Amino acid sequence: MSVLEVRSLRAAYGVNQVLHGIDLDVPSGSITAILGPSGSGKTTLLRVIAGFERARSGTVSIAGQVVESPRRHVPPERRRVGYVAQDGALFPHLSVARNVAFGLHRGAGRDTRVAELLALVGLTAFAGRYPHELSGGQQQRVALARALAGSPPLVLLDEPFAALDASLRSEVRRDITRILEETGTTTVLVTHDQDEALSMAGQVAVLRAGLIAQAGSPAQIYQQPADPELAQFLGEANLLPAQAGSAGLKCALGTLSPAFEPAVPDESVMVLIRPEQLQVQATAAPDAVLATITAVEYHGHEALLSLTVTKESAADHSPLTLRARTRPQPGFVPGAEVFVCVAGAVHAWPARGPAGLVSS
Amino acid sequence: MAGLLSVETVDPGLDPVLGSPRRIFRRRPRWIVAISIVVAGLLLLPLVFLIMQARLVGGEDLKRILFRQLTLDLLRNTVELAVLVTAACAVLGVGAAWCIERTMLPGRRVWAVLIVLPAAVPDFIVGYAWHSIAPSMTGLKGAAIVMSLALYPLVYLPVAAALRRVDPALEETARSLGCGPWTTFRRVTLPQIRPAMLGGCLVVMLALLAEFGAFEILNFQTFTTAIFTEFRVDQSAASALALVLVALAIVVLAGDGLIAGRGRVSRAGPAATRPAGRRRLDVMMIPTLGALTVLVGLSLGVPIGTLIYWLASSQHSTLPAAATLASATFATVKYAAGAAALATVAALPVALLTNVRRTRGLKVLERSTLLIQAIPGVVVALTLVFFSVRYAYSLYQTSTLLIFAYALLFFPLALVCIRGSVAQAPPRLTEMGRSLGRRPFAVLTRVTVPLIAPGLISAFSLVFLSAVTELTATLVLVPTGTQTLSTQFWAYQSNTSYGAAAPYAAMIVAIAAVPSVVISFWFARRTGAAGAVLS
Repeated sequence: MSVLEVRSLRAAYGVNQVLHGIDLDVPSGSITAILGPSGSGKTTLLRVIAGFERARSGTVSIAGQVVESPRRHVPPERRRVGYVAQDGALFPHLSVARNVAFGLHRGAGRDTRVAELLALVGLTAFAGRYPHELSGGQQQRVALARALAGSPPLVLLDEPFAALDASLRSEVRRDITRILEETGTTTVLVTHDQDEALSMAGQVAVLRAGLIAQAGSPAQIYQQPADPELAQFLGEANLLPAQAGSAGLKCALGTLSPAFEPAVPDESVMVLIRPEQLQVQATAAPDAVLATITAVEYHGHEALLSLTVTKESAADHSPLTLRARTRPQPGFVPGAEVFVCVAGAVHAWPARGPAGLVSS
Repeated sequence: MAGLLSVETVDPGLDPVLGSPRRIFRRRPRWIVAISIVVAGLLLLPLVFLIMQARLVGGEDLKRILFRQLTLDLLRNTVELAVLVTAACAVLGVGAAWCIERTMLPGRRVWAVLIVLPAAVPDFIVGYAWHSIAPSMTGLKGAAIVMSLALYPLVYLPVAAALRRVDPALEETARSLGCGPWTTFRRVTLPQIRPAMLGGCLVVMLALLAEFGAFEILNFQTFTTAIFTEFRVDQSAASALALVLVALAIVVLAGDGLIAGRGRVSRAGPAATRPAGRRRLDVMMIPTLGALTVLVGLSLGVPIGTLIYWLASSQHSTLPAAATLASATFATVKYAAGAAALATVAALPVALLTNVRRTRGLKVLERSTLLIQAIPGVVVALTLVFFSVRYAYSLYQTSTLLIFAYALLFFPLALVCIRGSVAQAPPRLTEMGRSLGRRPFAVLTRVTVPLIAPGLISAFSLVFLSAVTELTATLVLVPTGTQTLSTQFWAYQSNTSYGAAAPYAAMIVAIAAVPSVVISFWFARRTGAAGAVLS
């Protein structure tokens, strides 16, 4: 069952249309990430769901109740939606415990509930502290505890890790994912960080210019993006023109096997090769193509190589550049000659427009 | 109107992300510290003289003077008035700020200007305006109404600025946690603006303690009016009452420390750039517009309208010679300009201490220069007369003493202005200039001075404008045979020659009040410390 249902939702600031008809279903107990570049309308979508902004048309239903439609606007305080703002938005004049207790009614159960939540986020010892005495990650955990306190059917996270240091981010992200999964909370996470969306969510909806460009599981949208532009937005991508035939997809790197049978044989297509699909070797191998390393981005556990394929086969093309992700090896230095081949099946789209659209 | 100045201490230069930039100035330039000590010493003179005066009177006499019905009456009047006016200002100031900052009120920009303009009209002119058209406006009732209408902008300005600073995510989060609009205001917004509101209330109380002209006109007895009367008859009684008045003001000033200590309004994360949402007024539109119109009509329309009325009717009755008006204007401008220059020069080194790595001693030094805010104009004048008569008779009734008094009274205004712009020139930038290969002197002239020049200009202007509107100290210290705009106004209005007084009042409003609003807006926008200035 879907906890959140959004149907042909449109929203605007003045004459400026921001959302152009959004449809979204968030299944109960899932984490759904809304991923989009800045200006794509993702924060507006979240704010309409929370009730901070009004929609032009379309509906929003939470737990089966219509909370937003052209005729109806349930105010935010009656939607029972937990909300975690970008910087936590802890009330600076209240202690941690009183922040968590803010939305709870006075009564016998309140203190128990607060203690329970503080234990859940691992901040029992900080109950009496004030927000400015906490680190950024601790603040976000308090903000989450506060949002969860009233057991809302839906929790919204608005770029909750954007304000954190990079070193802290992955740790806080892990903590928060664990808490959300433990409590089985239905969550909508808004982010512009594809890494965050892919690693945290069970479902990712990519928002582009006010429309959902693609929705699906993280693996689906990473491996089979709807179009080349999305492929590049979701991570490093090598895009190569190819010719579909009965043997497979013929391109500068040889004949590749398609992830799906192409609809029309002998069609011009564009193939997507993720950097980790490229195997780079110092020695020659069958099917491998000779390439020169032009730059090395060293990351310790891996290295991102920029390669130029020295092509004899298709001399009419300008040199083809590729990005490959490998284990670092001593021989991989700029100027070195290596052999590259593609491992596994590749995703492809029918080629549109001029064939000059090559590589990233 | 001495010290109508933000007691909210701006702590500039502290960058939450990069840590304190102050560490960069390892060595404290000695000349800055030395001059600051001299300035602080001069600023403490009125307090020293007051204590000397009290010692001369002697303990027995002090007791006799203080423990009598008059003191008790004055105390009761002061407390009653302070409670009424402060409460009224808090309600009017917060209400107006909320309407203008948080609703979709039509013409918000215009309202935002109209609502603060009353602060630019000197209180004694407001008192004169009301009394001349409604002679029954006297006593506690009259004083409370007139002062509330004159002083509420002092609460409005800091509260409006605080409302703009509140992170909208706080209020949205409260809404998502089940609080309605009113509960959200009470539980989240109000605690955020409370320090600004209380700070404004303290400034209102300081202004009430220092006010003389309006109360004299409205026939309401307070310490200032009593001191002024006693000063001519019984000097020891005047100094005894002055002691009580200063003690009250110090108590109020100390309240600032309490507010600062309790206020947890710091933003935990990075600053929000998104403005807060505004509420639709719907059915409340007409009542809200009506209320604001009444408020602006009473606080601004009545004084200005009355002034225009008297100006128009004096055309054919008691028109003062144009020459008198011109010479009074010239004297006023001369003294005010001298005071502005003196206060600005004195405030510069103290303001520069902000950028120096500060020890506890230096902080105390800086704070002590603000103690002068607790000393009303009448007391400053009184102590300077005491000093000159006894120790420097050649200074008695000279323009030097008057200019010195102005500079003392309005020093805090100059300090706040310059400190605001010193914060715009953090040591980081000086260091940057050095690292780009410039010598310290070149950095001073090419980086520091251009950056703090606006602060120096606004300090000079504010002190100038405040001195033009000063009445109490002027009445006591004005050199014999000279008339300023305010003394001439006072002389006429005391004889109930309202028409004759009007041109002088109009001139004061024209050369001081109007520009001071422009400057206070400009300054508030630059530094974000909207409450820092006025009149």
